[in-house]
Amino acid sequence: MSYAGLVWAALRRRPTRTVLTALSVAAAFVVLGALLGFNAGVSALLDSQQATVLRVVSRVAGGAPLPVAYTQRIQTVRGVASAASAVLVFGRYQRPRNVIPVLGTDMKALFTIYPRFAVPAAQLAAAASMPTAALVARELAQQQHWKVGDRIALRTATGDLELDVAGIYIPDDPELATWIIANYDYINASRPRDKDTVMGILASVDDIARAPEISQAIDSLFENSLYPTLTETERQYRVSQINRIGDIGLVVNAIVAAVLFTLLFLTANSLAQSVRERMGELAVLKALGFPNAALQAMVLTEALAVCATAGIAGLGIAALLLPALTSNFPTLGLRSLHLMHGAFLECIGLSLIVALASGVPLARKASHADVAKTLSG
Amino acid sequence: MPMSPRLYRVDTAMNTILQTIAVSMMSVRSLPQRLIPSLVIVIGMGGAAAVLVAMLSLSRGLSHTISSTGSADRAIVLRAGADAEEASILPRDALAKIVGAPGVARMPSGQPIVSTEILTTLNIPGADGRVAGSVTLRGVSADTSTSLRPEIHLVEGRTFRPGFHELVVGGAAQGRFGSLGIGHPVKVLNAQWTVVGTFEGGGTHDAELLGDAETLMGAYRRTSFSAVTVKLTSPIAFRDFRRALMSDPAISVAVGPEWYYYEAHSQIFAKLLTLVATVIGGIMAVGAVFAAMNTMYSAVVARTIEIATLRAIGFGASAVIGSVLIEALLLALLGSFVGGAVVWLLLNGSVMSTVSGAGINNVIVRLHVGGGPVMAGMAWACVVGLLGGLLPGLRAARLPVETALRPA
Repeated sequence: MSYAGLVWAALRRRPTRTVLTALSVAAAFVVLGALLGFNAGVSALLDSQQATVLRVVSRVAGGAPLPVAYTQRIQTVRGVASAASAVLVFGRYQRPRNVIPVLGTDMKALFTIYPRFAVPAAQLAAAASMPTAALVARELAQQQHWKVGDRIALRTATGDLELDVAGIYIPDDPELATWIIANYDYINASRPRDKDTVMGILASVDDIARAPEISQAIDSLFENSLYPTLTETERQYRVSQINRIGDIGLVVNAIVAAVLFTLLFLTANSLAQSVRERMGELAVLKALGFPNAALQAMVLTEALAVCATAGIAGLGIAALLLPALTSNFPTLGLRSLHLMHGAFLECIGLSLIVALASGVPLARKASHADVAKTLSG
Repeated sequence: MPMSPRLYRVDTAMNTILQTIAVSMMSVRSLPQRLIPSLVIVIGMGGAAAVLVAMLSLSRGLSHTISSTGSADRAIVLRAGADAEEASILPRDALAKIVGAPGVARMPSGQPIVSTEILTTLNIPGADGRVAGSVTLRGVSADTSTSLRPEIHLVEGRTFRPGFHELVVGGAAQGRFGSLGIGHPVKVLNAQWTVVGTFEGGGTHDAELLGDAETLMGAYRRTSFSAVTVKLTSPIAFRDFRRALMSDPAISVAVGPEWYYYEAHSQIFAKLLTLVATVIGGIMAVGAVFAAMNTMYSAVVARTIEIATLRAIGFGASAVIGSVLIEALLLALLGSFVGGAVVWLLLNGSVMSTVSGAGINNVIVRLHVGGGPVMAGMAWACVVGLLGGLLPGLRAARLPVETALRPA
């Protein structure tokens, strides 16, 4: 009988126990996979945020307006490659609950700032020269069955908008997946109040390394004006958004620790029972000339087999569960999040650690079995 | 004397109960011999219960903090289309209309009890000089603030004076940031403001700094408010107040009862937390069921001879099943108790920061572990214990007596 056969026989010795242990390990890994996947998704989201893009907003909270003239002045700050005004209005399409964000901006500047947003050059040029033009995110266009040439009427809190779909763009930021991009001048003209103001200004910088000093240069430009600004990189902005969910990292780590502790105790106990019952058999193998190392390897393989199989099954369930879990955090832009590569490796690592931590002491015990004593009974 | 069938049934039922108690006592007394495997149930259930209790406590704390903020006799006026105070801007000319609307309560002096409010967010530096977190600074009307929100009371120091760079801090914010003690400076724009008092009782406002609205508007050179909070003569007056403002074409505002505003903003996140607690706690509980089954199966194996002997001398199958179920149940309950106790020791009274969803930042929740969440943990323990004990119990009852007693 091969070593694998011996391990298989050991696992089948008490099938109920093996199956139940595997099921509880799998349940633990569903939790671990979901939590670590969520964490990995958040940090992947942060990594994808561009440190090259600055957001300039009013230092007064609540999207207090800034003069649109600031965009031109920011454009002249050394190191700023391109700057775009931004004003956000919420349009209601057909039904009151069908709310669509509309970003009024300088289209050409915006797509220079976000070169990874894909839009056909001809559509962009056409849209930029037509006042009522709208560029619609592909996902949104599919949802609402809009195509280029359609005219869409939106109601907003500050008046009605009539937009012509001039192009479809593909954003790489999930937050923008259901937005409309329109011309600032048209949105501005539609507003009864706050004319010639923006809610924020987006600016790209030539050199990421200089982003902090450029931010400071922008803020000091307006420091003593009527409308002081607050400039931060998109990444900083996103970090502060995520920090606003509160002590999420703390909660996740606490649960992971609780699960791991429980899991370790459980597998160690199950394996201990298995080894205890088989001391006689192990002693026979030893008497037949199996080296200690072989016995240790067999016990460890048994632990690894259960942990790895059940762990991977649990991860699979977690991967299915995660999208449902993260769709509850829409404001974070985690919509497309799934079990990330890193979290998968992390979980495999954890399952190996659990298997070794519970297996090594028992493997030693098995190999120290005193043949004469055990067999004489 | 022959027993009547009815009495006989009562007698057998009593018998089963007595037998179950006797067998359960016996198995519980032998628990120390099966200590480690039994601990698997306790620890497995403890882990699930700890997660459940901790997250439910957080969710309840959040709900409670936010819903205790709103009052039925106050109304919030925002700009039309803004669904949160942070996103609202009201021009000064709207104020005259709001003050003049019907239903606004007045002080004995005749002054309407209305607070113009302006919200900003301050970054609070930690001990190392880096940003430790952010706190909402709310400017309120100094002369009406005690009439408007009588539930807020100073616990230390004094209140701020209009025209001076002075702030009062909520107890929860102070608990979270050591640098917000009385006498400490707070940087607002480029000026130093000073904390002069501490207050409590304001629900979510306990996580905020309060100052004088006009002084703050001057500092920020702003001419518009974020929102206006109004005390109404009675909760019923709200309808007239709302109708008067909504029908005025000169202003475009949204008007809502204060309690509704806070309820609407709190429920999303509190529900989400409960959902996450249930899903994660639920999966852990499923794991605990499997662990409990494992343990109880091996307990049955360890007690094979004992159980067979009992059956041979006339104990019923239901007594054996009952004893296995009771043992699993007791261990699971012990586990949920241990899990709850650990959470209580670690988290009770601690302060956590969270948000409630759109609009309300930085709710600081003081956790009170107890009551409902612990009961929920115990209820789950009962389910885990029963499910975990059922199959092993049935196996124990079906043990073939003669083969079990034959020496191996």
